[in-house]
Amino acid sequence: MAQELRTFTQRVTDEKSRLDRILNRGGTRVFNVQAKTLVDQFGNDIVDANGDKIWFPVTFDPSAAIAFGKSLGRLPASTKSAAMLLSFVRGGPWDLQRSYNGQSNAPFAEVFTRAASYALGLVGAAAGHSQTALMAGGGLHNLVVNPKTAGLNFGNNPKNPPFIAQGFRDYFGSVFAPPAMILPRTFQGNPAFSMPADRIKTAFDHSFNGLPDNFNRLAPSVINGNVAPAAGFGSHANTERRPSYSLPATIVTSTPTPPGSWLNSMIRNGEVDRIARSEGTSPSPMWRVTPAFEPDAVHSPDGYFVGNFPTAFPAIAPPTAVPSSRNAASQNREGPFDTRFGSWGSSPANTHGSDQSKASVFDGGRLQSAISLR
Amino acid sequence: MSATEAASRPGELINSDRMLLAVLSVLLLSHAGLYYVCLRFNLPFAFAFAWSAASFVLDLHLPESIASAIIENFFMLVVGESYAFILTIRFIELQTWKSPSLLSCAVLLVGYNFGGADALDYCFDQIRFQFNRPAYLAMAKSGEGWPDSAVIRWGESGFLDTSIQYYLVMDRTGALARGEIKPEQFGWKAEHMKCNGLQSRLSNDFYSITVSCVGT
Repeated sequence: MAQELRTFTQRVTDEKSRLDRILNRGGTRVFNVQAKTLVDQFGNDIVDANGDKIWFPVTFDPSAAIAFGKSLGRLPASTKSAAMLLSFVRGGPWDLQRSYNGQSNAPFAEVFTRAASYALGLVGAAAGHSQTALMAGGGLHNLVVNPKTAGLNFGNNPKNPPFIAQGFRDYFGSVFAPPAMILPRTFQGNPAFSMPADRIKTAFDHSFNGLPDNFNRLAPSVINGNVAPAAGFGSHANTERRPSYSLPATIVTSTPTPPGSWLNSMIRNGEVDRIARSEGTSPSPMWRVTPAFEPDAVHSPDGYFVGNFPTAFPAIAPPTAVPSSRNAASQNREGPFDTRFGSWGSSPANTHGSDQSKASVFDGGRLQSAISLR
Repeated sequence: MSATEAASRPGELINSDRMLLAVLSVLLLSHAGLYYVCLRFNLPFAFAFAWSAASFVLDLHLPESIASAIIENFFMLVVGESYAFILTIRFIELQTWKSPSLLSCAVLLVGYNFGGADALDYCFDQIRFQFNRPAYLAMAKSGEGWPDSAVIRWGESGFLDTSIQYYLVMDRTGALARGEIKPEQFGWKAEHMKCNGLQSRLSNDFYSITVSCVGT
């Protein structure tokens, strides 16, 4: 579950300028391509149906691919297809097999064949094409050029459709959500209060009631992705897509609390949410019921209590993911955390170190990091 | 009134049947020409049209196998079906088969579907070669294989893991004619690609080579 970088050696039989050189059968061009794997916002590798990692050019940025697809989606239908095909034909900017190592129209790199189909699915989905339409579009060239190898699936080489479909699915699965922008003063309150009440209810099987048990369950739920605070994903200026949160695989069960308490009603009607989101938040009555674990309690620069994130989750959070002090959290940013989540952009993993704006995954480690940065 | 009569009527230079033939000829030539240009110059327009047609078919929510078959033959289905309908009506109206224009339409439609498109491709190659012959000879002279051979890139396109490459080859050694060199040996080929080649003679010394490859 970590992003990998690798250099692949590719071989292409070179073009010959003379017939006698063709007879000599020599002239194989050997070149290296820099490749990376992708890890989604939930920390999962992007793999094929066999569990093998899909290798992408190191400069490939799925967020940019989605943004490009969305820009195509705003074009008239008559030009959308042409614009998209123009980008994916040989030498086009999204022709991943020939655009790598900072070059375009480079020699064909086979290692990126699956990535090219994946990118077609990702961009096409963002552009508003249906999956079937993408299959049809992907197979058109092969149908004309290689009718003998054209499969039943709209003329596609049978190896391509699974990856087109995977890219398509991953767009709608929101695995490449826009990078989270950890805004200043984001965590003025406990993250539970910046979540819609129904999301808490889904994860906890009851409404948030502020009892210590809830806090004990909240942090691991954030870590394992069962719930994720809406705060921290505040910058969606260029996208209408919200990060999606999968339904919890294992919902923490607890004894239901009696409905109708004043806290429940505040959460249900969104008042708590509004208080937590508003700028210049003043300490709310909530803080009085928030148990503070003093060594880990985090305060804002103006002295307000920000939140507390108990460190004692031995069964769920590895020690490195949830360090026991702010200093440790700060050091952790440089280490396995970045190795795990890498960069979606044009720089490889481990190169952006302390760049908090790159944060794209919201888990316990990142939560801790984000808070320690304040 | 028979078609022959209509054709011979003074003052009526183009009757409806001849118009049908002209329109069909233009349609088929445009179709073949568009693909010729797009495949050689790496342009997406022919595929964009085809994709738009595919989207239209997919909107009909047919079973995928049927939709796939329709999309793959969309142009011929639309043009062929339309012309089959019109020709049937016209033959019934004329009450004779002896209409050269209508019979030509039928022959063109069938012929285009069975090798006619490839024949048009060859015609376009010939036209292109003959029009630029002096330039190609000059390129061959400046190449390192002169006076025996020259390999000139004549176009290329690709999409996903498919590619097609075109070469204009001057061969005075006779290796191509004798089959010592296969057309699929031209061009680049990635390690795990499977390629097919096709050669057609344009003149005594010049050949058009087509190499189509797909990943395996």
